[in-house]
Amino acid sequence: MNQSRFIPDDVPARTATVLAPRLEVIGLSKSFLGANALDEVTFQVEPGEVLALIGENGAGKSTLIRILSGAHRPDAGEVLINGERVDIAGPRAAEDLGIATVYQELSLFPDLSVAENLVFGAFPGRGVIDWRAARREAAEFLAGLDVHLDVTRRVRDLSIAEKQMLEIAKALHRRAQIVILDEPTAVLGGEDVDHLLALVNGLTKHGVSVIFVSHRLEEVFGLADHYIVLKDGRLTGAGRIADTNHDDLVSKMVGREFARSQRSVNETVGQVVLEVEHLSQDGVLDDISLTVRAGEVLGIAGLRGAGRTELARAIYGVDPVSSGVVRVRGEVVTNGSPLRSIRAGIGLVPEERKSQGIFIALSTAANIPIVKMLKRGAHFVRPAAERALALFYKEKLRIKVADVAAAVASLSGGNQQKVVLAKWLDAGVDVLILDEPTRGIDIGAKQEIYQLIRQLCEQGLAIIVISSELPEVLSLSHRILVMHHGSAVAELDGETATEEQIMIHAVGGKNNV
Amino acid sequence: MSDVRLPGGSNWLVKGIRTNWITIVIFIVLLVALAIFVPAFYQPANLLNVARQSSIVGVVAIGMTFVILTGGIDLSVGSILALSGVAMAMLINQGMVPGVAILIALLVGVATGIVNGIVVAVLKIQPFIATLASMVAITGLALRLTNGGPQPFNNIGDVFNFLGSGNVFGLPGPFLVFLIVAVIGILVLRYLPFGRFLYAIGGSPEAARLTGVPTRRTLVMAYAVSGLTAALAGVMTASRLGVGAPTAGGLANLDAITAVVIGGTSLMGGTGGAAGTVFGALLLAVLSNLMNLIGISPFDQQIVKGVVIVLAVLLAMQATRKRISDRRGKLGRSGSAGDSPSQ
Repeated sequence: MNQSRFIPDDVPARTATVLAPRLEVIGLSKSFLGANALDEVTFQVEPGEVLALIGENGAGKSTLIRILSGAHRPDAGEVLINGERVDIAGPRAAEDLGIATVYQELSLFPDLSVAENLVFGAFPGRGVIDWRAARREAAEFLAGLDVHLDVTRRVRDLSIAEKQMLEIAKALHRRAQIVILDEPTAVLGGEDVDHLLALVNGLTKHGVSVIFVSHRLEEVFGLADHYIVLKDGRLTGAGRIADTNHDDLVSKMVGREFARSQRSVNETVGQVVLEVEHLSQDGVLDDISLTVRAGEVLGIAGLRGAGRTELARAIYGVDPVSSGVVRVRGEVVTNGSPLRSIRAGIGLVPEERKSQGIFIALSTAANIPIVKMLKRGAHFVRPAAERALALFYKEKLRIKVADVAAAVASLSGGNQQKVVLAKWLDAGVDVLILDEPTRGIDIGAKQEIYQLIRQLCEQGLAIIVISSELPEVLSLSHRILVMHHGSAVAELDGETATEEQIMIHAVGGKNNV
Repeated sequence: MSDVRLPGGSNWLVKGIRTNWITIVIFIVLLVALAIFVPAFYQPANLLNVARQSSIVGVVAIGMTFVILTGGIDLSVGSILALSGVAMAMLINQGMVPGVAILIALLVGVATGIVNGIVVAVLKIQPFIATLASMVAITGLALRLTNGGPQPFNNIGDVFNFLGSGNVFGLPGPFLVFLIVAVIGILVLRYLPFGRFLYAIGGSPEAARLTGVPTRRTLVMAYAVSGLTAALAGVMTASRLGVGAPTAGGLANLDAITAVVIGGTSLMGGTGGAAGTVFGALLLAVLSNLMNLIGISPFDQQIVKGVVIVLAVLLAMQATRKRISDRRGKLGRSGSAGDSPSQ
């Protein structure tokens, strides 16, 4: 250090940037209505480093992100970028300071092309936009990041993964030095996650610092250098990823010892309830047969695009099939309708909870009875009974809801999912198909949902769990069906299967086993 | 998240007031201001006049509420109003009993509504376009049937008196009709599965489909209800004037939409209700009555009305936004794309 004063003038500046962390957060606090959302949080991120930000929903992650992206002002504490104290007065200021945040809900223009989105606001040309130059610039920029996208494609036609990569590329195009990724992988399937993680890895080589928020701890271990854990707005853990492990992080998040879940031990697996024979849908599903017995969980694994959701929808009668038979307790329900399936005893907890699972503008009390109402062909709505029912399920499923008459939009993801489950429990089902039941749900609520699935299984329901999270499939399922490219390529025993085994089949390598 | 219940969270009346408070406040302020500055407003004769003025638009707006709750719109209500009035007048002139003529006129409205609903729900044409087209076609039909001329008929009788201009229990007949329609509308939306399905479809069409809600049938029924109320308004208009005029529809569609929107039902569908619509219709009637009383010319009245619509919706939007931001704050979750710093 002493040497630095003998170094020529231009060097100290450089040294300063090398020595000062890219981002330093000191004693940051924020409270809403007297409740501490963030309480004296201190951490730092070095250039080219990936910091994992971990915590349950409501732990303060979002508040922290919002402060860094200029959406909230902190009550106390300071933020330093490259050693300089900064004031992130608003979103624009954040962008000028080189902080870019990529949310799950992306901010791209769906009807503009990749190139138009990338250069938006910084168009080449004088007065008139030089589109040829814009396309060239976009193509070169993306190629430099190793992102392979046709720049003339409309963003609407891109996959979610491609959109996210474009969103990140856009941030870099604006010379972001700090990229905050808010649960980027929550909505992605296996191979897309790998692409995204590779891109993030590439960023760090350019000296970009990344703050990575994820519920998937395995990704954190693969990607991050350091981690911080928030719980109730406080920092409950920080350090090098290399010095920690899965269970340690989880216990810091939930503040208690965490036991890995186990599938329900059901000695009395009953009769076959759901039978699917040779189900095909042109270009989507190819000759799929499966059975599920009462008291059994069938896991369905596979990469995104393997046809898992399509299979669920076909069984449930949403989308027509070209051939094959679906039977519930012997009754043929092939090519019916959701209502037909509901009456036969099938329930579906769909993949997109907010748009497909619940009625977001309706209250908890109005959401729960709607399936039963349809199933029974009810003549009247009885608000008082609905309220009582909602309070019953609030208690039974431990739904955290302040007012069952308020719109479910105000509930957290996990509680919304419980409302979806309550809807099916109330209607009474024999077969329950759950498509990505814990996507975007925090670990505590996840455990509760797992617990619930096991209880239902023990009560004799036939359950199908579709999930991109292999630990989830492995821990819940008695049998696991692996899909690849619209076909069922393997059936594994839930007791003995491993993640590796599932992946080998999922990527289509069955001949190598 | 605490377990504290908001006061009166379960009480639908309180909830209704909470969601419509902007309209209610404007309404009350207006009534107080009237008492001070335009005492003539409170002359019984004038109050009855206001009630009568609100009824036609009010009846149409109740049916419109059903359609708007699904996220749709019905531009054809004015033309249905005209067609049903014309149909009733012509049938009576051909010697038909009034009761039967009225029934047929109402069925004409239901039938045109069902056509609207099928075009929207089955052919999947956007409601705006579908009902714009039927508005043009139905107006054409009414003009063709009458050769463009108004159809006077003998409107003497208890039925016409009740529907058109007479007073019952000291209240104008049309206003009673409006109140009855409003009460039925409120009850249907609240106590029938059909009503619940309208909200479900308007809020989350995909979830409605996956939950087994008969979306097509429900949509067709919503437009049928709108057709029915428009036809009833047509019968009321004709009864009052003693004429079935092919041009009687006027701007009834826009007035009805205005009443619904001022009443707090979102054009996006999924939230709102018929009680708010009643307030919306009354507010419009009070406003135009006030302007008549203080001598604002009909031309200027339109300008004022336009401004009031924007102000009312602006205030309502701000209330909604506040509710949403409160919700966000409570959740502490990252919000929509609008919160994103990029762009």
